[in-house]
Amino acid sequence: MTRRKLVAAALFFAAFGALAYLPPLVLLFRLDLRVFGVPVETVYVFALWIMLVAGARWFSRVLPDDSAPPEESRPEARR
Amino acid sequence: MTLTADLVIATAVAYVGLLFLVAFLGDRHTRNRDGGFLRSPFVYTLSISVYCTSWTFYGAVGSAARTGLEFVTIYLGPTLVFVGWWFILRRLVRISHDQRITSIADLISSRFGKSNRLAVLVTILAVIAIAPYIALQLKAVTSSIETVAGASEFGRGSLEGWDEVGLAFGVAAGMALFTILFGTRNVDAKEQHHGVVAAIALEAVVKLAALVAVGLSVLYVSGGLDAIYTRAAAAGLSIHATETFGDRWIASMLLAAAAIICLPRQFQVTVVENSDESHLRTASWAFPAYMLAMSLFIVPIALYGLTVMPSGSNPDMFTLTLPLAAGQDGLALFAFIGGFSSATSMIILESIALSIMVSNHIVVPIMLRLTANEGIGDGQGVRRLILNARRLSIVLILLLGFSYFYLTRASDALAPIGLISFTGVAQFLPAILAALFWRDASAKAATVAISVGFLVWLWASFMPSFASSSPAVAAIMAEGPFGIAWLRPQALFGLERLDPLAHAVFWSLFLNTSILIVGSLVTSQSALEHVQAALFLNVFRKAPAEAGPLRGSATADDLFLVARRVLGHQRAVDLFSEEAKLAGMPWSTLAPSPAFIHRLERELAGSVGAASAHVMLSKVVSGDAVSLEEVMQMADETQQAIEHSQALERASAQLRATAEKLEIANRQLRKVDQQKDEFLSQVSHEVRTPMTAIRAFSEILLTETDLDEASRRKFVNTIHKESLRLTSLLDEILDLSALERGERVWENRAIDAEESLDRALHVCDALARRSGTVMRVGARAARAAVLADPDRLGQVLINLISNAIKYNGADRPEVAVSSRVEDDRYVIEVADNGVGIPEEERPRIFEKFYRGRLGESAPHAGAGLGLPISREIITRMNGRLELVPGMEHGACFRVTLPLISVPAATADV
Repeated sequence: MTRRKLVAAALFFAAFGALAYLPPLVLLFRLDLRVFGVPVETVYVFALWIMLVAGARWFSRVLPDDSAPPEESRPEARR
Repeated sequence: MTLTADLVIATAVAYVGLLFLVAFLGDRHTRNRDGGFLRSPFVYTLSISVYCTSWTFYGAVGSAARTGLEFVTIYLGPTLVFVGWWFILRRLVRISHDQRITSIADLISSRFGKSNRLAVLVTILAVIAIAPYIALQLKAVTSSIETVAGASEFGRGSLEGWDEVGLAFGVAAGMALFTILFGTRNVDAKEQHHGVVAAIALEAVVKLAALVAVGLSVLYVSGGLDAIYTRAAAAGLSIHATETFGDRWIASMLLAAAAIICLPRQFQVTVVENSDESHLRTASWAFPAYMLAMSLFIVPIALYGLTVMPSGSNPDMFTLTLPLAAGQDGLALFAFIGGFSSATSMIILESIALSIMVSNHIVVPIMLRLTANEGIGDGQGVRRLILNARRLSIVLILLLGFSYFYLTRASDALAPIGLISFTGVAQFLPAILAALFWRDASAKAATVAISVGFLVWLWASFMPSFASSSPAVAAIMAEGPFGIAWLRPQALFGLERLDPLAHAVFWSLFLNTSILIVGSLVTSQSALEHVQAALFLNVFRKAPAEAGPLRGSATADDLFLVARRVLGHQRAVDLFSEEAKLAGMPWSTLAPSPAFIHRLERELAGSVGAASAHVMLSKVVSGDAVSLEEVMQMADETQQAIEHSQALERASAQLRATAEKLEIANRQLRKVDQQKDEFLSQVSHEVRTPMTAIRAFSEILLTETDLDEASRRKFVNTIHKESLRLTSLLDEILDLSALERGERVWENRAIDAEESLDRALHVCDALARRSGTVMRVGARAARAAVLADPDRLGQVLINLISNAIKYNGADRPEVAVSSRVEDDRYVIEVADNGVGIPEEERPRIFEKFYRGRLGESAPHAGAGLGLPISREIITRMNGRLELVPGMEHGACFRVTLPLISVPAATADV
């Protein structure tokens, strides 16, 4: 993927996360159902959360590195 | 082990001592070495986890017990912000590094033209908004100590005689002392506190471990998740989120997302304490993972607590009371330390962050104003004043928190208090987003927007929290002020259907954002705002403009005095030595460059904020400092100059092109002029020959009176012949020049060219006979319709044939004439068997007056204009006249004319 597409994907990923947690999407999982004893909406919330963490980890590795070049007054950034 | 109040207090104090040691070692570690472990991205992530306070540790469980899943929104908001770190946080960090931003107030002030008024506003509002949050921590710590004391069989121990308020006051005082010891030992140039961050990171580990330990123990004791949910359902608790995903859900998720950006302490750890941008990359997933781990056990603990604890027990304290009830005193103590940890880290960082804002934006500007006439302070230096101001602000902030706690002590739940603070600080969000993304946002609009948002917050969110302790507030809540119903705090403008939280969030942020947008559209920015807005927006452009708005001829000594007072002697010496070394001259003669002044301003900004640093340096440099308006004007003039020069460049390019064209035209003119001269001289030459003869013979006739009749007749005859020749020469010259100038106009008609050829042959027949030339008429085209003038075509053909006869030069002269139709062309060829035209003369035979060697010597030499005229005529008929290789070695002229498809009837035959 090109840099632009990656950045767009990262934006979409975050926006998708937000949408997925808001009504009406989240209401899809408000069922009287339990998965291993846990209500399905609770499972949904946490599963989505895990997915977001995993996705963020992937993006943190592939998003381009354009950090500022170490400046003279920031010796800690030099290393 | 038996848990007593004394024991937990002693443990808490010991724990604080441990934190202090960690902070001390951390500071020394970073000072001596490069930072190493303490500057790892994971320590950075753990320090961001200061977001999880005792609100999380205790309050989330209480919240889950009361409203189910809703508590997760507080962590989902930040999760989403961190997942989208690329778009907001990365910008914030980069801008803050570039501009040496030290706090949220500094950020907003810096963007809106280093406006001190805005900085003061944001600082004051932040202090007010955070008070409930600090009260929450005090309440949580106090409650946890009370819980342990209440559960202990040994009574309250040394707490005997202390009520809840006294205990909270004691906690607040202890926290203040601790924070002062921790955070105000020195003024760091970049407001980074590595020691404190190390301690906060340790606390993050402790509170996570404690919560997970309690959670695992609950899971173990209760027999697993399934058992917990089943039992809760059996006990009549609603385990399904039936009402959860409503307006409150949306509002609190939005608030939490705003808080992770706008809370002063979060800004401090995420942005200011960030030493390497790439750490944010790790934090983008590690911090959400941390919050996920913190949240995993909240619901099980809450549900288990609700099912096993006696009704009426405070669900906020389940994390502590469950181990206590189970007799796990060690776990309970660990849980207590975990809760204590989360509270202390929040209080320490929040008050450090707020105290930086107070000292930089309120105390230092006042001090600068007071010392307006005598330079920058005196002997004492700014450093001590800043440190004292910070200490004072810490005390003040904790006092405010305690006051809020005191006034609202009747309410019991923790989480709603935190949400009040969140709503307050969220009022900074529109301004921050505008700072990051909108160039035209103006300071005036931002000031009014934040103020209005905050007033709505005070009215709709902050004030109602006093309802339980103040009858007056309760009355306003119920009836509205002076009975004005549409101003009721929780039903503004009659909006009653929303949850109070969502109601306050909606109105405050809606009005805030609208005013910011509309206000920015109708107001204009100051010059400095304009510059700062561009700097903020273009932060990711390479090679940022380093042009400092200050310039002047301040001496290095003056600057050094300022720098020493703010940064401390050593740092100032380092800075100046470096500059002197770079400039390659001793200190005494160092002339500070604008770049150096700019850098100094940034360094100072790191200690006292952008607005104050700007004022301070302006004072020193103001000798002939250029005002920003002037700078802007200069910039505008430069811009105009650039545009002007670009226009000039374009004009000069056009000029160059024109000049080139002129040059070419001139060259052509010169050539033509030369041709004209040649032509004239040739014409003169041609005219001169017959004129000379005429003159000579006429002179003879005039002077020689005794000439016989025969001679006289011969001379007159010669004169006549020569004048005829002269006339025909002049005719030809006139004809050619008229042809060339396009003055000879004739109309080409459709004619039969064969007929013209016949006429020409007929005319030349006599000439041929006279010279004994054999005319051979070869193959002829049957009929050839061409566009031409018959007389002119005939003239050309006669010229060609008579040339062939006259200049033949062979012993038995022959002239061959043939015509044919080739494709769509009509071709006539006139060839002779003479000596031909030598190779080197061929290119020149169509030139004017060129006659060739043979022509020169021929008895009836022409003027050398026949061929040029013929070619001109044929060209005007869209045809070609050329010399082609002919029979034997003679010359062969070929006329080619395009055929036209004309019906035989219309052709003029």
